[in-house]
Amino acid sequence: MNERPKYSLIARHLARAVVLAGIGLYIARLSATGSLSLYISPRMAAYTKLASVGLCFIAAALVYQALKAWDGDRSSGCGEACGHEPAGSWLRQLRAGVLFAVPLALFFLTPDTTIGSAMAAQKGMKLSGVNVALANQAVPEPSATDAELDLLFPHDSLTKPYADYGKMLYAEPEIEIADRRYLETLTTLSFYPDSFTGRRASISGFVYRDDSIGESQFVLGRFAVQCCAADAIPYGIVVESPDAAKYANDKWMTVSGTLAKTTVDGVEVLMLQVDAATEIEPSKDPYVYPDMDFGA
Amino acid sequence: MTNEANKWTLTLSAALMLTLLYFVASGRQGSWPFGSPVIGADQWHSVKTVFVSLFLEALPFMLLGVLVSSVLQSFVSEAALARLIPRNPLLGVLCACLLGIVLPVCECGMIPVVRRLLRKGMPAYIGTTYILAAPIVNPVTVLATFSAFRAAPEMALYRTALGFAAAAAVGLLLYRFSGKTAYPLRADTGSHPHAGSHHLADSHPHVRSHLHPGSHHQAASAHAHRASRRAPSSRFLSFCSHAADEFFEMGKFLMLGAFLTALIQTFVSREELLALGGGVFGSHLLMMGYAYVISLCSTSDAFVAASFNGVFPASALLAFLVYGPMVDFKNTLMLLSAFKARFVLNLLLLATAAVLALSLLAGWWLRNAAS
Repeated sequence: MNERPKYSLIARHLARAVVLAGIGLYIARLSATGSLSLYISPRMAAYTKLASVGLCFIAAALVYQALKAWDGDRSSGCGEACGHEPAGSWLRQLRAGVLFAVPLALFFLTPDTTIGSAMAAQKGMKLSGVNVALANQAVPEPSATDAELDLLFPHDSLTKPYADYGKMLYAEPEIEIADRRYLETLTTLSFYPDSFTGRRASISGFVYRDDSIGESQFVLGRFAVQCCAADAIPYGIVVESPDAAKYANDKWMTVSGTLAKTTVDGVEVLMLQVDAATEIEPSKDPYVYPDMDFGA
Repeated sequence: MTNEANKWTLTLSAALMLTLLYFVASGRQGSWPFGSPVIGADQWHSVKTVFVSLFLEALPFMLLGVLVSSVLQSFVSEAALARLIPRNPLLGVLCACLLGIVLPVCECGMIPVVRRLLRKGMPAYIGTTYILAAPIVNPVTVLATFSAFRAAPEMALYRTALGFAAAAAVGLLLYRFSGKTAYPLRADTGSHPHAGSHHLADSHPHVRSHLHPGSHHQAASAHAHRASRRAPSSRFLSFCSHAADEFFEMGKFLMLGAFLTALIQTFVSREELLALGGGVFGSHLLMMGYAYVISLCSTSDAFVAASFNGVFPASALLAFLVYGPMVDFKNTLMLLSAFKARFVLNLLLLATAAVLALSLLAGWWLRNAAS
C-alpha cells in the first residue's frame, strides 16, 4: 500500500467524473439551445435528458469518492480491497482516455450539424410517400355507395384512414403539406394520384436533385425521423419550375403550385408545377415525425 | 489468447479512430466547415450527426442497463436466480423468449444485464435467447411496427412470431451444441478484476455451472457480503462506482460502434447495396445485410423497413425486422465487450442461419396463402 496507487485512484475517479459530467452538460446545452432535436426525436428526448441528470449524479458521487480517498479514508467505497485500483499499464489508461475523451470533445465541441441532400442521396429520396399496401394485398375496390367522394377515394378497412384523410385534404382550396402529418399527407396524395391531379398544394423543405429528374426539376423534401437522426428517411416531391437551376442543393424553400403526374425511373409519381417559390431559413427543427395518432 | 487479441483490436481501433479524426479535423482550413481534402463538409456533417444521434439515443438505455445490472449485483442472489430458471431447457428457452415482455430493455441496455445474469449462474443458452428475443418480443416494438405498417397490421404479428421462433431455435441449438455449462464471458472484463482466480476458472470452463458456481461467483458473492455490512452511504458510493465502471466498459464499444456505423451510413449508399443482388434469396440476404450495417434500434427500424415496401417482398422486410434487432454492427461490438470473440461469432452465424431459413419459409407460406 504505497502512495502511488492512491494518487492514480484519485486521478481516475476525477477523470471519469469529468467525462460523465461533460456528457451530461453537453446534453443540457443541446437542450437549452434547442438543438437536441437535430439528433433525437422529441419522443425520445425526455429519456436522454433524464440520462444526463443520472450521469451528473454519478459524476458527483465519483468526485466525492475522490475527495474521501484524498483524505486517506480507504475504507470508503471500493478501495483496493475489491479490485478497483486502476488496473493495467499507462498504455491501457491512455487508450481508455483517448477512446472516450477525444471523440467526445471533437464531436461535442464542434458546431451543431444536420443531415442534408448528401445523406438523402445515400439513403435514396422517396418520392411517393410510404407504400402502404403490401405487394400481396388486394387492390381496394370502390365502395358500393355512389357518393362522388367515395369514388375518388376507394378503400378497404385497412386503407380507410388514408381515404378519410384524403377526403379532408380534397375539401381544402390549397393543400398544405405541413410539418405535422407531412409523411401522412404525402402518402395520401400518392395513394390517390388521380384524385389530386390538378389540385393546388404547397410544401416547404430542402432542395435535392439527382440524375433521375429533369433539368427543369428538383425535389423538395424533408427527413422523417422516428427515434434519432440515424433512422431518418428522406421523403419529398418532384417540383417543376422554369427557374429550377437557380436553386442550389440544400437551400430551404417554400413553393406552391398545381399537382400533376410525371414519371421518375419508370414509376409514376406526383409532381408540383410551381408558380410561386421563395427561399426560406432552414426550419429550427429540420425533421418531420410520423403521426402516431394518425387513423387511430 | 482471445483476450490478448481483443485488447489489440481495441488499441488498433482507437488508433484508427484517432487517424480518421485527424483527417477530419485537419480539413478545417480556416473557414471551417467548408471543405476538406479527405472528407467533404457535407459528409463530415452526416458523420457527426449520425454519430451524436446514435450515441445520445443509446445513452439512456445503456445507463438503465448498467443500473439494472448494479441492482442485480447487489440484491439478487445466485440461489434466487437458480430457483427462477426452469430446469427443462425447452421451457427455459421459451421463458427467455418471453422475458422481454416483463424486462424490456433495448439492445444497448441488455448486454450489461445479461452479463450480470450469466455471472450469477444463468446458463448461457438462456441468456443468449433473451438477448435475441427481447428487442423483438416486447410491446414497445410491436406498437412501433404496427404504426409503421398501418395498412398491413399483420406485419407486426409476423415479426413477433418470427423473432420468437428464431430466438428459440438459436437457444435450443446452443443448448444442444454447447450444453449447460458453457461459459462465454470474457475473462478480463467486469468490475471485479480479481487477478488469478479468473484465469484459473476460465481455463477450465467445465467446472462452471449454475449449480456449482466457479471461483468467480464465490468471489462476487463474498464482495456482495462485504458491501452489505457497510454503511448505506458507502454502499451507495460503491453502487455508483460499479455503475461508472460498467458504463465506461460498455461505453468504449458503444462509441466505436456508433462512429463506425456513422461512417458506414455516410459512405455506403443504399442504391449501391441494393444493386448487389436480386431474386428472392438475394433480397432476403440483402435486407439482412442492410439491417446489420445500419444498426438501428428495434423501435425505429420498422419505418425504415416500410420505406422498402414494394421494392422487396414482405418476407424480406421481415428478415430485416427480425435480424437487425438480434445482431447488428454496433451490437456486435458491444457483445464483444462482454463475450468471447468465438462465442459472438457462433452467435452471429446461428442467428443468420435461423433468420434466413425462417424468413424464406415465411415468404413461401405468404406466397402460397396469397394465391
